[in-house]
Amino acid sequence: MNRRFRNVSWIFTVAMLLTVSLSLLVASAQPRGGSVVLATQSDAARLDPAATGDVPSMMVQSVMFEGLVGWDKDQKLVPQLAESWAFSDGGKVITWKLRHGVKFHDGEEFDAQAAKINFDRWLDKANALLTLSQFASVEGVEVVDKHTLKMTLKEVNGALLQTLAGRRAMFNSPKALAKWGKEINLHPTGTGPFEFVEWVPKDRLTVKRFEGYWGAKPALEKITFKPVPEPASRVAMLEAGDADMAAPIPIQDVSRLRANPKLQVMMVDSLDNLHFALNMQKDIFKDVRVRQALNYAVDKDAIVKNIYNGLAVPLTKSPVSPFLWGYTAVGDYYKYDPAKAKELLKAAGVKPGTKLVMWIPDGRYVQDRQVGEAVAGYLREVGFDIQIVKMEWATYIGRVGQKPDPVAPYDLAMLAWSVGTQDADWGLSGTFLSTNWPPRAYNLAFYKSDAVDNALVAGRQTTDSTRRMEAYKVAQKQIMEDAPWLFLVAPKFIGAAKKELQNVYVIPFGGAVVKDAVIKK
Amino acid sequence: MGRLIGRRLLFLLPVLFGILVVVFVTMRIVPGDPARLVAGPDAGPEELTAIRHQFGLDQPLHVQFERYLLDVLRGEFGRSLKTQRPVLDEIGPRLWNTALLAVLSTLFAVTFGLLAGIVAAARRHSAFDHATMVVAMLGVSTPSFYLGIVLIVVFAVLLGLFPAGGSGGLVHLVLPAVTLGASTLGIVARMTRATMIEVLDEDYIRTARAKGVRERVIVVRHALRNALLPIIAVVALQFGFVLAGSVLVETVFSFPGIGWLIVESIGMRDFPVVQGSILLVTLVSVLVNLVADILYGYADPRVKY
Repeated sequence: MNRRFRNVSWIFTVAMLLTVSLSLLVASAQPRGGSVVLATQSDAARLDPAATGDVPSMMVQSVMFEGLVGWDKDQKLVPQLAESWAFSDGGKVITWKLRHGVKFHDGEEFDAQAAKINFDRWLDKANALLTLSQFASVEGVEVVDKHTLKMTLKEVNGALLQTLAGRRAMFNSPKALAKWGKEINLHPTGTGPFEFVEWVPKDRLTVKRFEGYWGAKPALEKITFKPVPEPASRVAMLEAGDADMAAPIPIQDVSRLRANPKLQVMMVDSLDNLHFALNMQKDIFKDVRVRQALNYAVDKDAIVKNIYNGLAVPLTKSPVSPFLWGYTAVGDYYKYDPAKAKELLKAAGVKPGTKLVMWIPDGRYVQDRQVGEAVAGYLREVGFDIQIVKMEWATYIGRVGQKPDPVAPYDLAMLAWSVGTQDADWGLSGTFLSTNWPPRAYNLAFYKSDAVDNALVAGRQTTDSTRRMEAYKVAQKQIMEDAPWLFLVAPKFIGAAKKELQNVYVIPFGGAVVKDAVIKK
Repeated sequence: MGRLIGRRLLFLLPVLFGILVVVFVTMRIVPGDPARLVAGPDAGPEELTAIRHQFGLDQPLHVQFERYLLDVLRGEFGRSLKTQRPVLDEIGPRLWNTALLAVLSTLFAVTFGLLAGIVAAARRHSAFDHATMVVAMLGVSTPSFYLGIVLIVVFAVLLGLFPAGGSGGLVHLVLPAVTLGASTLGIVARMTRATMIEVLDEDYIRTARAKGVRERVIVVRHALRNALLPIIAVVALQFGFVLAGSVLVETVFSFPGIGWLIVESIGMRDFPVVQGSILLVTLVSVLVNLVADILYGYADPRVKY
């Protein structure tokens, strides 16, 4: 044999061996197994997605359930149990091609009939589920064949896909629905990568890997969700090693946790757009100059820096958080300028010493009370007399949500409008559409702008995402100029985990995602 | 004794009825709409109406009360508005957890409080006496949520001796029980010292000493027995405070007890759970005081019922 050839074959063999052993090494570096304890702020309320309105419940459900569509890590809409879909009849009919070979945790097959049974349940008024108004535009669904579902709409709804991804339209096994009836809330039976094991309320909720999962099987064997309401205790559990991940994490603990070599801190801009609605039923706020003056009077950058340690974004470019679908930076508004604020107030004829009543839901949002106090301080500097009224959340949401009699009692009311659909449709119309004054929804400013109304309706009436973006851009610009709110900040949502826990992240709606976690020692 | 128990149990009925009325009315007077809280902010008016109907909250108040009262008489406490589980399923395990915690913390407080108080009284004005009384004062005056966090940081995070929270075994109960018992311990220690000192100055103690009885026998057999009466009363009264204090301690240690349940249910305006829990906690509290009265009879033969 030629000596050179021998050398080459020798090298080739070594290279092959190296490749094989390296790939083995890589494969073994993707360890399977292990379990994760996730400390959350509160116990799940319910395990039936269609009956749920809170983040801790949705966090638990999203590992057990799937819908037609969902979101990926970057919050992009992706197919889940649907493989594809097509609009017809000008957007009023959607034909869904469903994924083959999908099983529920009880072994039942997911098909068009199973999907229809779920949709029928969600749309039935008698069930009093939270899907009622979300899917008010859906006339009904029909089974075309085993893996094709036809959805007919009463009217075109541009936000429908996002709403379907919005964590409520997730499928339960029809067999389980029939078996458990109203008790389905306690017997979650979805198609997700993890299946339900047990729920000891206020103590733990455990799920285990579903071996029959249609997609990539998770590496983890078990996830335990542990409610830890006291933030300092949640952090301590993580530091003590009793939890593998914790979220949310208080701002003041971030630098300490970052310095801990065993831990990693992760964060994302939340959907919470903290603001004060300026009650335009009151004469003083009917004048746009006064509303703008309030926005000039408050130094949002200083609030971000001093109250949030830099862990928030000021809402100076849009009334909504950057992660809301439909967000556009429409300008750079209301840079801190107290002199200009005073000028505008003077021009509007507002006398120094004018009294304003400010309502705050104490303890509901990150640093809410501190922000309220700071804003009050800034407004006092431009001559207002501010009276702060703090209420606990249940009282607060009840009072701002009721029908005004004849006008709402507050001048400024704090709120953050974070919607599960993550879409500008409900994200803007819930608080700015003129038909959504309380008690209908939370337009707490009693704002009415024809331009905004038209844009929001236009954004809903098309499925063309470019046209939708354009419509919402118009609305956001008009809102920033009209200043029905004192725009504040979108705080970051923060989580922390052990370093060896990889592929875990936090999401803008709030909550942590651990289903794809890998433990690397 | 039997008559006492009978009378007390009879007396329990109007107390429970009163509590039931007060809680029922208070929960409905305070603003806040359970439907809105359960549904979350993005629910529409259609859902809210449907949910209110589902909960029976669209009925007039007197109809709701009548229904509730009849249900309670049948032993039916309804379902949680939030989780839709039967209220007794929600309360049962948590009440048991809290009872365990309360008993353990009381045991801890009484054992160490008595010991510290006795030794402090016997060695009046010694360094031990002063140190004990300072610690007792700290125990009474340190807020439990603060003490809890300090204990977590020291014993869970730094030393890793105990879990930082949750439940699962006796080891999970140690830090919460110490936190919850700290203030009772302080009170018992100071109380024991004061009554012991008083008793040790009595004539019969001087007589015993003159007879040459050993000091240990004097302290334990003669003095302590007489000093015990006010302490039993204090401990029984404190038990109510321990139950109330469990609210904070359970939150700090994320310990699944009734206190945490009540606070969260009030926040959610989960009427049936709040009503049921307070009713049962009242029942427990009254029963504990009854037991204390019985013990009183044993400690002091002069007490006759």
